[in-house]
Amino acid sequence: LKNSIKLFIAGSSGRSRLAIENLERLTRKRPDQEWDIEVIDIVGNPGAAVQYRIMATPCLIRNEPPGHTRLIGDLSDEDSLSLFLDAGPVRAPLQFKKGAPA
Amino acid sequence: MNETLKLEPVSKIPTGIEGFDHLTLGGLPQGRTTLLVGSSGSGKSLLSVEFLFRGATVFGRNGVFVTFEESPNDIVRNVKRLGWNLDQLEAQGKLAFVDASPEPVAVMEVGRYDLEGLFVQIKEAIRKVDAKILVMDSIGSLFSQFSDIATIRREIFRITHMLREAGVTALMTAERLAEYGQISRHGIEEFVSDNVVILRNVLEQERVRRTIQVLKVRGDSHMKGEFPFTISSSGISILPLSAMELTQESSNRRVGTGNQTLDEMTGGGIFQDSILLISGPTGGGKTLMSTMFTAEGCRMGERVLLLAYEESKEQLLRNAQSWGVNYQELVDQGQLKIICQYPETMGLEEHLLKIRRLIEEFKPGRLVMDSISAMERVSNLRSFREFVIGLTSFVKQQRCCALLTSTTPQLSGGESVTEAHISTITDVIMLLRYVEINCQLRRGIAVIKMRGSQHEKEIREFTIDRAGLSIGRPFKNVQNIILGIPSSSGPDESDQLGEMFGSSPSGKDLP
Repeated sequence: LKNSIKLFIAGSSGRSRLAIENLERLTRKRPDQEWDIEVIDIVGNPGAAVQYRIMATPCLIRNEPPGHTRLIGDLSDEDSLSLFLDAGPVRAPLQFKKGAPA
Repeated sequence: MNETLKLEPVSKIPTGIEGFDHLTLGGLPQGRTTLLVGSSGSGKSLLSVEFLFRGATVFGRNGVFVTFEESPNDIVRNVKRLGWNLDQLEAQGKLAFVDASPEPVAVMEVGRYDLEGLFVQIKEAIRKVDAKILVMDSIGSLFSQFSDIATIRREIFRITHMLREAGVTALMTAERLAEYGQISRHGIEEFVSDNVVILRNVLEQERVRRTIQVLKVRGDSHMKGEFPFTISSSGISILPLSAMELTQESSNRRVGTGNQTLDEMTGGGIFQDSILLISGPTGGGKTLMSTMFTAEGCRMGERVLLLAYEESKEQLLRNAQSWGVNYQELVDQGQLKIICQYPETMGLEEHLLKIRRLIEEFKPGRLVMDSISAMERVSNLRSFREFVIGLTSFVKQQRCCALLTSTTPQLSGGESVTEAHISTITDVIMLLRYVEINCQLRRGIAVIKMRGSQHEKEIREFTIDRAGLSIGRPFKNVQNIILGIPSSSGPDESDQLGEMFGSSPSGKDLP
């Protein structure tokens, strides 16, 4: 199972670089998982900004599973970024038994 | 060489919104961002959509709609009923949406950010349709989507700067909490805009009164104050009313009133572009005079628009028939248009708009309004005054001869609110009054004002019979008037009349 993540940045600003660094550092700390990170510069690819409705940059979204959380900012808060990264793909769907309370 | 030497004043581009370009003396400042503020439901979104729609369809200016609240689908659907097919414009490449409406996703702010995404999307949309105009509706929503106020302020400023560089004329809307007070929530006007327009939506005497005010246009002039506007099936219509210029050409052509004696009293009829006010008590002959005026117009081959606010069409037809005027025939021939409506059916602004539309469509030579005082019932004084000014100035511009009737509250003498507001802007005033002489009720008519012409100053007696209105000889008691003894030798006819007409006869002022 892969963690597929997109990071939208705007040009090579300090903020963009900081976000990339922070993301790379924290994913390196999780070598047991496979990371597929795509960095998209919306200045060169405005269509992507329209498609993914990017308002603020940097912006981090999860493709798989489609997440309902977006992170915006330079990702400098390690706790928040870890929380996002660790909410990864669910390995096995949770099983509920019919009519049987635990 | 000094850079500032080459600068030229800001030019304006027309919006095509009815009355707006008149109010702003030309439209929106080109290449600038104008802030449009108003409380919830004041018509901000509609005005901005209309700006884009008219821009694309009338002036060939492509536009971008940046929506921060509603989804593009909702916006397209909202104005469908007005016949504005935004989706078609979008398909033709004349309009582009930037959907910045909130998504049902959680956004966590982790560190510092900017709105480069929005910036890029706007730039891309402008490039795509080669936009000349742009709307952001409503910018205040950014402040609830993001928490870093300083960043948002800086980014909004950056966007407006980019628009200016790109030469895009923009309208940015923002919420305000109260109709009077702080210009906009979050103080957007402080850092963004040189130009501010305010929409208001005030409940006055159980009626909603919509107004628009141009607060400032940097470096240029505009109409000051609040102007009423309406929202109808054709969008926003601002009624500039008192802003109308008194530059109408005057006409020397006279038209008949339908009564020969009355034409003589007015020195040969009233001027073609004048406004005639007939004031009288109920049953005093006003409707008869309107009927004569209408019939005379039709006889002379003019079209006549008859607006009745007190009687039904059937009543009107029957009454006219009793004086030998066949309204139905005239209607069938297309010479006469009768609109009967209770004043209560809509607000005065809508009435005015409707009348203007009717005049533009039907192009009447004469307009009859029976009675204008009925309109008092449905409005407050200010609205009524604006209505009268708006109506009369428009009628004059259209070179239409108008007859307005006004019902006085008392049977004899007195004046109504209508007259207080209308008398100064009418060109001709005729009074119809009951005159009590020797226990007999008789009728008097007098022309008390006639702009640009001599008129008879006497008070004449008139009678109403099957043949219509016959004006007889003046009421006169020559001896008593010359002697100036009003009461010692018994009541004087003209003195009584003076009281009836609410003015003192010349003799009374003498010691």
